Amino acid sequence: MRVLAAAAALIVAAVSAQDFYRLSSPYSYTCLDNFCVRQLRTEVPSYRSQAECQLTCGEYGSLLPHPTGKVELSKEGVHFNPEHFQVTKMAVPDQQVSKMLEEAVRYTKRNLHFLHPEFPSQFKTPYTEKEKVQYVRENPRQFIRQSTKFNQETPQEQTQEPEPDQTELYESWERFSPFLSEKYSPRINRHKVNMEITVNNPVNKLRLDTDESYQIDVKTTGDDTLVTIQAPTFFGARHALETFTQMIAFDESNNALMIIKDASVTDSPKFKYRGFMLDTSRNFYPKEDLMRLIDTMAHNKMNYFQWHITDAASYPMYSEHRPEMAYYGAYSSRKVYYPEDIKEIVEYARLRGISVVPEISGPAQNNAGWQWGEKNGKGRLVLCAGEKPWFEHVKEPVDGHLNPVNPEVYNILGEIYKDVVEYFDPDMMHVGGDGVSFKCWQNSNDIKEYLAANALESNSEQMFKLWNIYQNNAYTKLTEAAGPERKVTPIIHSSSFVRNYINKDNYIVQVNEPSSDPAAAQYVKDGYKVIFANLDQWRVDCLDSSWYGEKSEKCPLETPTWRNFYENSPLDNLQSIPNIRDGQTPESQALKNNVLGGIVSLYSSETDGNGLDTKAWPRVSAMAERLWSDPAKSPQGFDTKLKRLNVHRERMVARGTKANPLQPGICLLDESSCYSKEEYAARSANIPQTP
Amino acid sequence: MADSRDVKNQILFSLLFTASLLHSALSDFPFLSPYSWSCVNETCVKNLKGWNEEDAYSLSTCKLTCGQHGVLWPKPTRLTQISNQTVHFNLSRLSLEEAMAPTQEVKDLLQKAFDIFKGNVAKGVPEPDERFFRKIFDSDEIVSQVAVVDKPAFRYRGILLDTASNFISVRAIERTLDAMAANKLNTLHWHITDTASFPLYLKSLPDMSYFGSYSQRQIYNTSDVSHVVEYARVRGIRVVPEFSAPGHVGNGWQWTEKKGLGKMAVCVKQEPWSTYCTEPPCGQLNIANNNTYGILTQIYEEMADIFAPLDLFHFGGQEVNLNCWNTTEEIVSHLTERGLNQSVDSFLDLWSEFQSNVYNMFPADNQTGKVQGILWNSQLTSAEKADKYLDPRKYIIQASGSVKDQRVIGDLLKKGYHVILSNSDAWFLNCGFGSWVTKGQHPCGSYKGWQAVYDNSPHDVASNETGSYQKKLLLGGEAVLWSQQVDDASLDAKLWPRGAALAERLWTNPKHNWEPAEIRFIHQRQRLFQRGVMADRIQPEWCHQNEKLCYLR
Repeated sequence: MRVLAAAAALIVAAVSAQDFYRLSSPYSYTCLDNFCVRQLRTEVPSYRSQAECQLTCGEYGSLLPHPTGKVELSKEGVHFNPEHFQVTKMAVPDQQVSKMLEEAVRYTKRNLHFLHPEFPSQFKTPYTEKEKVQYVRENPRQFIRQSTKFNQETPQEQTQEPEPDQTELYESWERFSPFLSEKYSPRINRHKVNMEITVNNPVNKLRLDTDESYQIDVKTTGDDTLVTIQAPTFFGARHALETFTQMIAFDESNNALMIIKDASVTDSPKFKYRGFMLDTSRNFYPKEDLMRLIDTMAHNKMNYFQWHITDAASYPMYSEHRPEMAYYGAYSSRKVYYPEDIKEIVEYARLRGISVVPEISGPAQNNAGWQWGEKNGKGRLVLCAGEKPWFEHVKEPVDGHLNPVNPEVYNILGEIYKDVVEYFDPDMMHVGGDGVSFKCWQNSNDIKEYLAANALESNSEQMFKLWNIYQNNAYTKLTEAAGPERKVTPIIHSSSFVRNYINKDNYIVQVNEPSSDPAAAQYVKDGYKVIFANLDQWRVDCLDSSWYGEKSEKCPLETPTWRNFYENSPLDNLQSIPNIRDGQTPESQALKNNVLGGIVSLYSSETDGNGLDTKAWPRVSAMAERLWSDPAKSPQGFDTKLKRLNVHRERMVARGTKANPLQPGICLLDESSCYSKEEYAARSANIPQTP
Repeated sequence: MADSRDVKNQILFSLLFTASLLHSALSDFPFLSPYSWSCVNETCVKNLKGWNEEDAYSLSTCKLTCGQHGVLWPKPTRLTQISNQTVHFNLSRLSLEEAMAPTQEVKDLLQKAFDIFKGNVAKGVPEPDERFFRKIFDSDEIVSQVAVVDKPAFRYRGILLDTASNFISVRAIERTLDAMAANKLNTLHWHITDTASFPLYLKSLPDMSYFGSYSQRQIYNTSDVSHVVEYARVRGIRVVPEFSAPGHVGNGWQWTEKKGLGKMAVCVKQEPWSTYCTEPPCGQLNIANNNTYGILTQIYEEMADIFAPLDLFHFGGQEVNLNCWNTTEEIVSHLTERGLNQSVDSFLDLWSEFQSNVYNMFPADNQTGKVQGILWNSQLTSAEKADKYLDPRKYIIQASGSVKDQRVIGDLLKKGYHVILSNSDAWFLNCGFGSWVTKGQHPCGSYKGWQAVYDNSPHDVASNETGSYQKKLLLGGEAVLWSQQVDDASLDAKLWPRGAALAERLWTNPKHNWEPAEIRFIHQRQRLFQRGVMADRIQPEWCHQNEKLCYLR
């Protein structure tokens, strides 16, 4: 059957070749008012491929997030084969940075190969050690030739020893690259893309004060393109490599890559914290899913992966001090993150310019994993773990709070924190602080006894005090776990507890309030360091109906679209603070500095690795541009963000991320065709009157 | 084959097993899991127990046997008896003993279906951990005694796949067919062309896809189409191709003027689009051009050929914009020549004339004879016009529209049309991801959760609108996935598992709502995932392990 189908395909191909041997596409592309317009080739004087047009059309070409400094892009592109891209010079302060850069360059090169539409998608897996296995191949084209070109007949040719004219090491993924079997004109084959990288500072782990700026210059003379990257740190240089890949596209007209001929970009982020929160407790994600997420974050120049690793539903983190937690709490023994897994992920992220922020929730959202306490003589570690209907206490199943009056809880917490500090080597850790139900505590016997023994009333003031006891103990345990050499700053969810009890110098506050809520601005006014999470705008998991039959109260009324993600601007939301955007006064500058950035949240009730990519991307890419570039408000829908997002989503798909399309394919082929009524009005108004 | 895989599996499992033993030695994991499950009141209840308990099962054993219908999906309609025992068997011993069938062809089909089944069993390695021990000795597990008598409630159980707004690869279509088969759905409605693109390669008219496809890589060759049709057939699925006309036509027709055939698609690229169509890009057939019919004949003939055997063909008939024709000089002068005015009725007359022409043009199928047509509901199918324009013996009407806001199928049923229900308020699976041209929500509203998909009963809709279930005329239903915001990357997660909810509604048509189906539904999602379909999650896994605890308040 298969053979027949293949034969039929061959016949069809033959017929079509006979019937019309012609160009691969009847269209050419012209850049008109920042948009690539598709026209019949016969109607335009000179041919331009879609790749060339998209790379160079508009102020930012297809760069996303768009640079915040100088952007100069020439209007032409040159073709090359990614095999001829190499780093010719690397000026770095030390061995460590040099190693990191080499890895980043290899990863970048692999992503260039992924741009070929025929690169088999099943091999676009995270760039782990198994992908880097090297093997010797004698003649660069030998492998491909043997496997595909001659396998139908003439087996005797294969018996000849290949000429050992060239011996190189190749990584295992390269076997699948279609570029190795492409035939190019001598001009394309001659063309070299050489890169020189200069990094000054030896910093090798991203912190909030790390300088992520960079400069990249592309200059083409004759058959050579020289790419120069200058950055204070590895992290800036890595961003430059991402920008570099966005100056390159696959050209369908000759199956080669194309790079912008000359370009010059200087760039640095507007916000320091550009985060993604993923919950791996409600549903489990295999390591590869997390790595793919990290890859995609890096591709969007995001820099903090907040790993909500545990919750009430399951406890997948293996703690060497307390293996009981995962034994009782994981969904199964396969659905566990072992220390080596975590370390591997943290390292994978570090090489992509991303720091991992572990999140160990408390005192609410604890249930799975804590069941062993009573049996082992440690008393009740969690309260409200299923005795009453969940809706008595919390907004969705699963119920459960830590027992704040059981000292064993803090001992165990301290041990877990020690493991967390060891596995993650974090400079920040999220300690939870949301979903606390006083009713849960008030209803449970342990708390009732405690209140009675201390002659305390069962009112909300006492509950706040209990919470404060919990938080102070947790803080002490965290400080102990961090040890004297290291500082781990806790991040805590915003709440009235934070406003009344939390010291602004010790914590960072993650602000969950809706973007329009004045309470959000109050944290900034009060001098807290904040990360905006605005769950009404920056939450990707909520669909309209919920997993337990009705819409979750925690979800926004309307599912946010990419436009919501884009338009939610931390500084615009703080308009009630004078001069916050420009920071003209010392006071406003100080407050502005406290706005660390933003984070998108994905609570995994209805999501696992299957839906992750589709739900997150490219909506989060829109947010990534908000946090990196913080663009000023543009006149209603009259700019290039959607078309750049469309191109960017294609790029993410090419790299193996299953990002969702925002529009039909025709809107990418003919960028001026899918306008809204408002955009049409704006465009018509902008047409200059001809005298 | 099976043997070597089995051995490989066993080696792999032994290795993993050794690894986990080492792990447990290091880490105080006394067993692979501290939990077991027991069946209490048709519910699998999770307990902190060891393996030795009498009534303690692994989760999958419990699920297979607990409850009247176990984890069968869709639920059988006549009789289900499932024993509470399971037996383990070696996959290599699974064989088709005897296929009794009237013809050799049917026997062959049965053998193919069995091979597919066997492949699926091999893929469906259950969550391994709980059954790790047994895995080493037994390959798989089956309920020891089962009796099922089953029959679908509706004849037409379909899914619409739009491969024109965005291209969808043959591999993704295969995956969709696999998942459909796993849910006993029987019709793939292939909306293969539209204004945006024309990805279908036609040997007689290669220019259509040359000008109309998104790229040379995004084309269905003749062999692709016949492959899909055959792949579907052995899985019990018919493919119903749709050629949209006279609306939703544009890209692919750009070549006709140069070849001296005149303009065939009009209003293409006319600005602003909102005046000439419901969504960009615009385009409609030039029905005043006689050459159009010549080309259409060629298209229909080749489609009938490559999609054979055909018993149904979808003629489209959706969203015709009369203003487009009314502003096209050629069509207006055609009207004038024939002594017609520019009223709505004149245009509808013209359109219905077009429809009856193309219906007559469509060739009969060699095996099935005259092919029955399907049309979307439209101005032609409205209560006042339908009698005049469409013969109920020739056309089945596929009804979209929201049954909450309007009567969608009542009038059609009363007039004697066969009807397929695709109401947008429950069975449009593309909704809820925001508008793709402007800000705000999609015109078809919010995301349709699986509960809404499940609870949408065609009988209830018919009964509300006509006072009767209309069992004879109401053929069934179809979930629709317009692909403006869908392609290979997100297809599976958007279709599944919601398509499974549709499937049980159409196969079983249960009297109850989604709630009693939830546990089986979650299991069906997992089954689809094991077979390589990237079905979206519906609940935290906690709910799968703790049945009935994720209840409503």
